[in-house]
Amino acid sequence: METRYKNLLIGGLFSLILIMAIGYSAFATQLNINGTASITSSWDVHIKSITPGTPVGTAANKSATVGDSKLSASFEVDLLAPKDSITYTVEVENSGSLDAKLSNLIFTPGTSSAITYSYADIAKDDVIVSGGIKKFTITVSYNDISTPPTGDDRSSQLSMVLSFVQA
Amino acid sequence: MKKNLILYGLLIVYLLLNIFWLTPMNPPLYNEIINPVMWIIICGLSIFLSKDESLRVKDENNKTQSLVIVLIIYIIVYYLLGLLFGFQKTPYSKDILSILKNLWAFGGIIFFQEFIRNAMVRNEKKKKINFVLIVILFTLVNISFTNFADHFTTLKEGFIYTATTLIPLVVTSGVLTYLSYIGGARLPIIYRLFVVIPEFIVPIVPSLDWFVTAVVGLTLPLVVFVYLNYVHVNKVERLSKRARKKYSPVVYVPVFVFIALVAGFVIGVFKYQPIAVLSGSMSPTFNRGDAVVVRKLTTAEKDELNKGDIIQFTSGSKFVVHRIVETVNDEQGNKLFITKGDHNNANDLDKVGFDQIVGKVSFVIPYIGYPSVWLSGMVS
Repeated sequence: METRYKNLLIGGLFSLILIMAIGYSAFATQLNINGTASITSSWDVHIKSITPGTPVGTAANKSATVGDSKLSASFEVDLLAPKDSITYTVEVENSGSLDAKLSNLIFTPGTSSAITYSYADIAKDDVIVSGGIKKFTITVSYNDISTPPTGDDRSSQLSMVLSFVQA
Repeated sequence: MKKNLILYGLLIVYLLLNIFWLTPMNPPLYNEIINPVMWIIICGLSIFLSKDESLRVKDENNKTQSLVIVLIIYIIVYYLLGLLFGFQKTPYSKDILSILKNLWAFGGIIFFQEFIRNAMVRNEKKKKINFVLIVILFTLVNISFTNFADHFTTLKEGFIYTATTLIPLVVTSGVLTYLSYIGGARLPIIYRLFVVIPEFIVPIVPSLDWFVTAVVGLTLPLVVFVYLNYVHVNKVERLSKRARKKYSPVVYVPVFVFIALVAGFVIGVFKYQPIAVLSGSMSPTFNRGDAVVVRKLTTAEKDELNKGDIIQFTSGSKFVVHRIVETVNDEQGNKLFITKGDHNNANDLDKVGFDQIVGKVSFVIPYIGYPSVWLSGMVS
């Protein structure tokens, strides 16, 4: 009797999982999905380090921090005059046991009118093999604007989010 | 003991090879061939060494059913947590070939490891030291050592890694060894497959913060242990009604509900959330080491805030709890608050907007914030 009752319960619970799966298919677009997981039990792709290079002109690095997800970063830099720039070297490490492919690379500049940015040595679909490290650079420069920024506007922010999937 | 000494030795050799030599060599080759082959060899040897040993496993089907029920409920609750915290896509490929490859690389190892664990349990089923050594060794072989040191670059990272990974690994290893003892290799295999497989076949996983991850990682093995221990003791020892009550998992329900409520309260699931006071800027209203309970506010409630209210708000990447000393409007007519710590001799530099406000302090609990203060001091 107990076995039969438990079998029924297991059947009921599996049906619930099935209903959840159907619900997911129906409402997937309305779910709050925040990017791709960077670290799971067997997957670990993360930003290992960010190193600011020598500033050009009067530019100054204020901060370069890695976000909680380990695949996002934010940069804050003072840009005061034309030709000011600073280049950061970013190291991404694949410590998991599967090869990882860059599926998305999103940059979001702050509101300061002074900022422009460029990146090199990285592109969508680049693969980091398991155990490998990928180095690339991000250059944050003074935008070619006629009015030099003042006050809070002198401090320019840039955020970056990387997404990787199994290669 | 001799039989297990050979297996202990092999597992230690595997561990040392894993840490110092094999992993960096060729990860895909290691992952898909070398690692499974090593486990197959140890597994074959362990089965040979334990062929004369037996374990009296009673009522295996009932235990399997009970475990499956707990694990299905776990999966349902785990994915429902995503509705609270949001979801993340899993990084794993979802084409059939990749799924099979992943299941072989990660699920296949589970079978070999659990057969070895079961052989070791059978060889020395009465010795507690054997149980402890199995738990330690199987914890160690399941830790990824490729970037182990990186998890301890700061005290905060070390604390989070210990809470989310190391402690759950040790507790889970203990429970798996117990399951192996009461139900053979079948129970730990089912447990691990239920936990590991969803992330390879389901396209999303809940995006939990580290605290919830740690609570879930610790709660699942404990719930499994309490329930399966009850099922096992009940059948094997044919308990009296009174004794059955003592082992009944129902006794633990209030404990787990309490843990869930406390966890929910601390991480801010409810309308009220406790915050440890880390500075003395609001002294004497409340001091460093006290905790304040903050009531989260809706936009309408924020509009009703007045001079004298104590609010929690974000300032850059930090949370601040200070008193409103003046209310002003900006050029667009938006309400802004000027704040000040009671112990400070000047107002805060920046005005606080609606979007920065988290909530209003409802009441103060003296001294209970000290653990957070000490931890924060150590981390910084």
